[in-house]
Amino acid sequence: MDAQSPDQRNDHTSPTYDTRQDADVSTVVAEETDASPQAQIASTGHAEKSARAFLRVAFSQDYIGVLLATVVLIIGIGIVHPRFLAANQILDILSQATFVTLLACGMAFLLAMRELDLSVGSTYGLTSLCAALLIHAGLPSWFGAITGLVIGALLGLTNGLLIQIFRLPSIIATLATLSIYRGLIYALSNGNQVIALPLTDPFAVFVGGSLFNIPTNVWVMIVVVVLLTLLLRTTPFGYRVRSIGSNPEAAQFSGLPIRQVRLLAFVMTGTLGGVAGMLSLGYFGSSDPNLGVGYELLAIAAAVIGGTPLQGGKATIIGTALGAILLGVVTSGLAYFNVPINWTDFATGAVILLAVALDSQLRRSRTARRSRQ
Amino acid sequence: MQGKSRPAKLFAILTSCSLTLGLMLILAACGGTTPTTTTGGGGKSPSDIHLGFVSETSSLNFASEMAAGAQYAANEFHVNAQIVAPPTVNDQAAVKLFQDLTRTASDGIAVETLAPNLFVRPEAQAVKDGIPVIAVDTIADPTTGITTYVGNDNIAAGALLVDEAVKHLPANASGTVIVGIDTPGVPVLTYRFQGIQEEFKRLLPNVQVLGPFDSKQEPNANYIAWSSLIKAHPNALAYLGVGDADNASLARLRQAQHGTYLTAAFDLNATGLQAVQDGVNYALIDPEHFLKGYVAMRLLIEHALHGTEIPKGWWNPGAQLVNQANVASIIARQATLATKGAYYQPIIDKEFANPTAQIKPYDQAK
Repeated sequence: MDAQSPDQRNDHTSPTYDTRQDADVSTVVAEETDASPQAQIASTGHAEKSARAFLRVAFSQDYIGVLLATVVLIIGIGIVHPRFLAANQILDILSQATFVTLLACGMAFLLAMRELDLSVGSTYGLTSLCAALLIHAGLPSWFGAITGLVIGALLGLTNGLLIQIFRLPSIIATLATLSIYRGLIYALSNGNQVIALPLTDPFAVFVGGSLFNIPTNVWVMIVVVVLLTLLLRTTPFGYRVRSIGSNPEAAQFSGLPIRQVRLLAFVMTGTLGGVAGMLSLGYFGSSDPNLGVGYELLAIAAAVIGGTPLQGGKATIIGTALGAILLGVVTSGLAYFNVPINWTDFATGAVILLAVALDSQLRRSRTARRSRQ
Repeated sequence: MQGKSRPAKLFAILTSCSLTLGLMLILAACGGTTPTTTTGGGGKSPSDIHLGFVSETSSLNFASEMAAGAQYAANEFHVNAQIVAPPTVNDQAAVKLFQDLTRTASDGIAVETLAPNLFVRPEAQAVKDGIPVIAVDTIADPTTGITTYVGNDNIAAGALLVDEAVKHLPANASGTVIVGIDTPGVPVLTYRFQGIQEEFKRLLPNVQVLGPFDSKQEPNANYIAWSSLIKAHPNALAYLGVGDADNASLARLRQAQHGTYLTAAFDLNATGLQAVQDGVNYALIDPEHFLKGYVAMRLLIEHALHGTEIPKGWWNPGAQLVNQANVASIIARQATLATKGAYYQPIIDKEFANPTAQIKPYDQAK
């Protein structure tokens, strides 16, 4: 299977790799019961070995660089401004990163297939506005929210169909729909905000609330990241997504249903845009015509920073979420440093560059270590 | 084409060139009438008057309010007015719209932009061509030849927000106040910040104003920026925005955090008005955008209709504080173009009864 080979090369959680780790761990567990001094020395050695094995597994993950960069950044800011390490600040960053994470997760699937959706920001804004208009017109809020999700899926489907029917590159088709969807937002809203629901509405209470002191947004992000990771790693759909991106010609030759997979990926991206739109609507209680402007670039940045390469073939959903969180940490962290207003964008870019450089350095050293092995 | 001889090819090329040139000459003859006849203005019937209004964007409250004011004036005098704006903030697109208007709105154009420097050359060309041009909201570069500016005293508008804040603070209050600007680099917003800073210094010298910080314009980014600023400066007495986007974010954060601090911002979007009505934001400042659009358009209309000279200098329509006392009437006013017109008519009548009283020297605008 030509399509499979590069895919397996790229996927570091491939069965071969995992088996080796399992063998190391089982050996350690079997010998831990022996209590003699020699056995204790051997046990210490094995403990070291298992720790090393754990570190090797941890450091082999695509997202380890962005994770370390994020942690370093948080600690760095926290050393200067300890308040930044407060739980509510970190939860705020996670909560606010949810919107970009949701859009970026869909984008990661598309990037893994060598596709792109530039309309995600507009989809996010349009689903929020449509639901706001429906609720404003008197429909129950939950019904409006479900309709918003359906609209998101339909917008994604439209993107997919445009690409299939007119055989357009996704970057061109979604560049057009970016404008069309945004245009619809302005036309439907007449350029004005739409107040949809009071913050006492059950839907707003649910979205704006928290469970175990963790905001609903963060729970949604966690659930989506877990589900999409499973989808990407353990299902035929995920395997096909990576195979198509790894080698499209081979995927076609081997009979993979490329069109259906692509269509599904776009529908999923649109639906995720809808989820982001509904979370925003539920939290703010209103929709603004400028919601989501420029978010397509943030979504791509989060996915790529997280370890999803632009050349396709693989993706990391956890890394994508971490990429979005890293961007959030930079934005929130800068607020503590009283950066002069005209230097804010410069400082944001510089910190992101530093974080990405650290990630890149880690990747290179990991690749070099692997090639030595 | 293999069988075609060389002279035949040459003939075909020459014919094509002649046809193209001929068409271009015909088009130039038909459409090349440079609008140079309007310098003096006056004497035209309303249906013959073609005016334009270009604003920053159609999707932000401040710009759409000005466009609404311009439209109301055009409707009132039954003249043709093209009210144009790019859907998102896009200054290059706005310049292009202005250039297009110079061909279709030869009786006068009002320009509302946050980037007046980009308009210098096309505005200067329009003025040179005899098209009356009025700057709205931001001062035009003096080299353009534009001599009339309709805009607020933004320093005073900033001070107005502070005057209201002071009523909610102890007489000897001390601490910090955080100010955000959602679009850095825009002079009118910087003036508002300056007004806030100076007024606090004057009324509560122990209060330190920090900023301005970049609070971003995209709604979510604005919310994140304010959330981070509040976390970074948790003990501030007040968080004040000088732009449109700040109203909703500050209100939502204060609600979510059950904050005891003060929040307020500028402009009249729906969530901002709601927040004042709910008592979440203590006030907002309405920079009378509708009135600015109306005044600029009416000056152009009167010039084209009656030849009335457009007053030279700075026309300041003032700024209005919206607080719990008057927010209900302002929400009612904002319902339709007609309700806005009805509300403003007495103010309009008063200001136009003696236009020269409204005018200050151009170089005093701030």
